Amino acid sequence: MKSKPLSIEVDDLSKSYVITHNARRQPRTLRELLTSPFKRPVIEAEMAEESKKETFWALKDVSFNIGEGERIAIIGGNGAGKSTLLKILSRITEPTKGKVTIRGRVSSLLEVGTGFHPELTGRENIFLNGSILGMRRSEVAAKFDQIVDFSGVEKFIDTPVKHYSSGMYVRLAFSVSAWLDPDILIVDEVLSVGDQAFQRKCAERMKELTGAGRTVLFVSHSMAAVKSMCEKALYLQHGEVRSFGSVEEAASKYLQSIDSSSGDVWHKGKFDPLVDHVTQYGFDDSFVQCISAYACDEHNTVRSSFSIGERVRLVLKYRISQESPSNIVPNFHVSDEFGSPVFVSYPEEFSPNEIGLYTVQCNIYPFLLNAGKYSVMLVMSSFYGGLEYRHHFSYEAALRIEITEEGSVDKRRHGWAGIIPGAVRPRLEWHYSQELASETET
Amino acid sequence: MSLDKNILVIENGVSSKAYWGDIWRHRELLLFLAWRDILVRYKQTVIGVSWVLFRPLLTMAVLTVVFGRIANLSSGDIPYSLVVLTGLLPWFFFSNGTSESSNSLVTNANLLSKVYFPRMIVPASTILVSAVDFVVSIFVLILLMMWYGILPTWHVLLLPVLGVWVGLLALGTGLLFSALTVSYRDFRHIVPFMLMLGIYTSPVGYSTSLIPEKWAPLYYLNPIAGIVDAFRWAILGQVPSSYGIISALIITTAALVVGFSYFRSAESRFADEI
Repeated sequence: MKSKPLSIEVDDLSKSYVITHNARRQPRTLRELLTSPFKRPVIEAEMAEESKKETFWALKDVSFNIGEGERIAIIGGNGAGKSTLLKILSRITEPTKGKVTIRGRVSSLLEVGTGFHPELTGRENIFLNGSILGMRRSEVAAKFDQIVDFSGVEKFIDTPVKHYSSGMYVRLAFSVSAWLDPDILIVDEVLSVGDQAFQRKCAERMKELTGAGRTVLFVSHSMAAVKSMCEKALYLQHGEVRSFGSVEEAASKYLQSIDSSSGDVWHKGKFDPLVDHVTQYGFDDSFVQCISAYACDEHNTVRSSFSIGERVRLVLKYRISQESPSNIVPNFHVSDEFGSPVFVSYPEEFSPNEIGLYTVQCNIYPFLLNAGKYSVMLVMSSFYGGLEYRHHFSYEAALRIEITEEGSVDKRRHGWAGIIPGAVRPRLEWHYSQELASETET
Repeated sequence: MSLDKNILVIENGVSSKAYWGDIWRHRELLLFLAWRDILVRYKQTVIGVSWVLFRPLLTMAVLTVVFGRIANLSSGDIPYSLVVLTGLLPWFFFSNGTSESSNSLVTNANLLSKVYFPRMIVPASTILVSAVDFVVSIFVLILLMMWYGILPTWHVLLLPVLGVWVGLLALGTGLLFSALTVSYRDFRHIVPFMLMLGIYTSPVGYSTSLIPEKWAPLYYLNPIAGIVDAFRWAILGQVPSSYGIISALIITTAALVVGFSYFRSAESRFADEI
């Protein structure tokens, strides 16, 4: 591993900002600057006490090395110093202390469409933006067709971008960046632009870009993106390096810290609509009301964390206070950690319609959900055929559960210790059969 | 080991030694920014680029009427409007260049906080835009001279040099004020005000021959006075005050040195302060 030359060396890098708590004291205008020496010392002292200057360290003694061709994710919460670090590496701002050595041509993408001018046409903006990002005119001209093609705005290429829809605007903006060709690429969270289809295109292009032996620094809040694109991760917290190593290690430390700092927001095994405030659709329905819901194991113990080999039981209690003219169907919408739907489940029969209290339960059998975090939306619907429906109530992410996997619970891993991707891990039927030699010939 | 020549060290207070090399590498950006400003200026206008011609022509007409007809100042045997236009050429170049470049860093704040390039490119590109206007207005001058049937002497060959001179003066003041505007927005008010007074304290609407001898040393502290003299010498053949020329040369050099060094010292703070 020693053979890889280093492309970025960061030694004891620190950056401080002075924040004044009483903004009046900072001579921000010329008048203040000129009159400040003449202020009477008593007033001066009084005011000095009022306004405390505080040095804020956005980055504190950050050191790490990045080898050539490595793809590094930088993760951490807001204000962890990620953007400051990127700004120093891309030379936008100077460090207060420390040293950075960079070998190779750097391009940084802290924003898509930097310098785009609304009055200029798409074509003009491509050249302008390319030049701002450090591309030569000839380079942009050579890649022009690819850029336009990628953005999908051929028809409007000679229209001022102020007439573009915001989606077209970002797509064009990203497309220019997508054809940069540096040795080192520094990317802030810019991939989450455009619609789903374009995002997928972007992610693919990013992978292509980062594949060719290029050193990449990538800031993101999406652990999925980080895991798919980077080998190593640098986890920053309050301007300091908490962890620098494998993506899994850094990501789990980061997610742990989120859970602990915000009082474990993810796990929620019980739901009470009167106490818990979640996004809901449908209010004051006169037919059905939700009373409570919970997740539990086979012994009816309420829990929010389950082993992958365990049965997860989702229980919903509701009241029918008026007979409904239509059939009422309870349903659970299960989504992953990032809110993408995994599945929706309905019972075969609809709910009894007489006035009274009811409980409905749904069992998620073992190994259906993959290890990870899932939220459950509780919905009570009536369907009127075709696309017509009504929500009597629906509570988004009312329950939040986690599926964990220890050791070798899953025999089907066959010793593989890494992550198995996907939202589900269903135990599908597999069959082996041996082909007979005589049959293969015909 | 092909990467060796590309080593970059980032440290506090150590601005890259390859600053000029960096500027050279970003020369296309300089042109692109100037090109953008020129394009944008005439988007959604009806008469478009003709505005470049209208501004000096209308100003010339007004100044000619005010100084030449109403105040009845003399311009010798040369038409008064030509005297005014030769003064207006460098004045517009200087005042547009200075006011645009002083504001340039603030108006391009989004670039400064998102991308690296030698910051000097931004004010320099606005000077370039004013230079284009300057060149276009020279055509107005040529037309006017043909109209009056006045032939320039060989001095006119020095016009490009004089143009560069005005550009450098505007660059010097522009660098200084653009960097100051980043920290002190007061300069957004100060600069236009100074330029407004400047058109009267500079010999734009009148000739320097009207300045009393004893006031000349004070008067020529305004570098534009000397420069306008030089323009009238090159185009109309009027004899300039050598004192004025020397004073203007010294002040231009001083403006460049002060502007450049202040800009360089403030440059690393721009992204944090803007």
